Amino acid sequence: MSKFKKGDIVGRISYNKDVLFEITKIIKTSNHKQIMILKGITERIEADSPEEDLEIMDKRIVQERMQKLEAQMLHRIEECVKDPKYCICEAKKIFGFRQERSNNVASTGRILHLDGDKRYSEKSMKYYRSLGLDAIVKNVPEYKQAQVVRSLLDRYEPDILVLTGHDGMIKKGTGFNDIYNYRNSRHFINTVNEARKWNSHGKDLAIFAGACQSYYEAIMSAGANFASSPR
Amino acid sequence: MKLSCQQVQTLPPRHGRIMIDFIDPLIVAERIATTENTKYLTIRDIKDELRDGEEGVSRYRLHG
Repeated sequence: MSKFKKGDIVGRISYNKDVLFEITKIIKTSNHKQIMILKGITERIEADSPEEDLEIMDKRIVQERMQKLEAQMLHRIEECVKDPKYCICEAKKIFGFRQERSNNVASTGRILHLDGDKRYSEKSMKYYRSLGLDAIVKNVPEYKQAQVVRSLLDRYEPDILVLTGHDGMIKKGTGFNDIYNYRNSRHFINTVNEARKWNSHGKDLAIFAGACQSYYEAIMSAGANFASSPR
Repeated sequence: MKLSCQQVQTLPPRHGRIMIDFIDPLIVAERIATTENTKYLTIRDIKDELRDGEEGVSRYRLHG
């Protein structure tokens, strides 16, 4: 019987528990061992690990990291609302800035954001809303994003498309040019391809795609403008 | 706001893969959305706000 269950927050002992992960899936192998599929709770990384290499993280440490993430987001929002270009900010209320009716109406680019992680989708929506940005966030698993992107682009006609979730190399330090050595990069590439087909109808679209350790070169070749880069 | 993308520059592939923070893509999207459509936005304009700067997120140059 495993001491771990789905939803536990763990760290990998061999990596000095540098990244906090949530166990999202438990796979039983033929030799009666268990492999845990992990997703980062503050980083956009996916990984797997044998249970022997995992340790349940102290609740206090988890809470500290989550609070740090929240503080980072709030700090960013606070910095942005000092800038007059964010003139219709929900955040101005939060930070006690005086709201005045302006004669200038700012029109910002519309963002369509597909995120494979439910928790990140909610946080992203909160972030965009706080800044008064015109954004639509949908929680769509990475493998489904290519199937739905065209209909969502038709529906929302965004200026900016953000495709995120989790990613990671399966064998680190090797197979950089092997698409199957990446957990979700092929899904991001397919989605960018689909988006660029829609884009060929005339509307310019800026695309950010990828997550931690994604296959940068292939995502950019598919037509993304920004991606998580190779070091 | 109308965006005009120009694919003028790519970085050469280098062997290594990097971590990005949850918030990095949001910062990039937000900066594109709030940049005037007459101005170019490059990664150098954003890099100081990202976890690993230009090492973490790279780009083609594009208009706001």
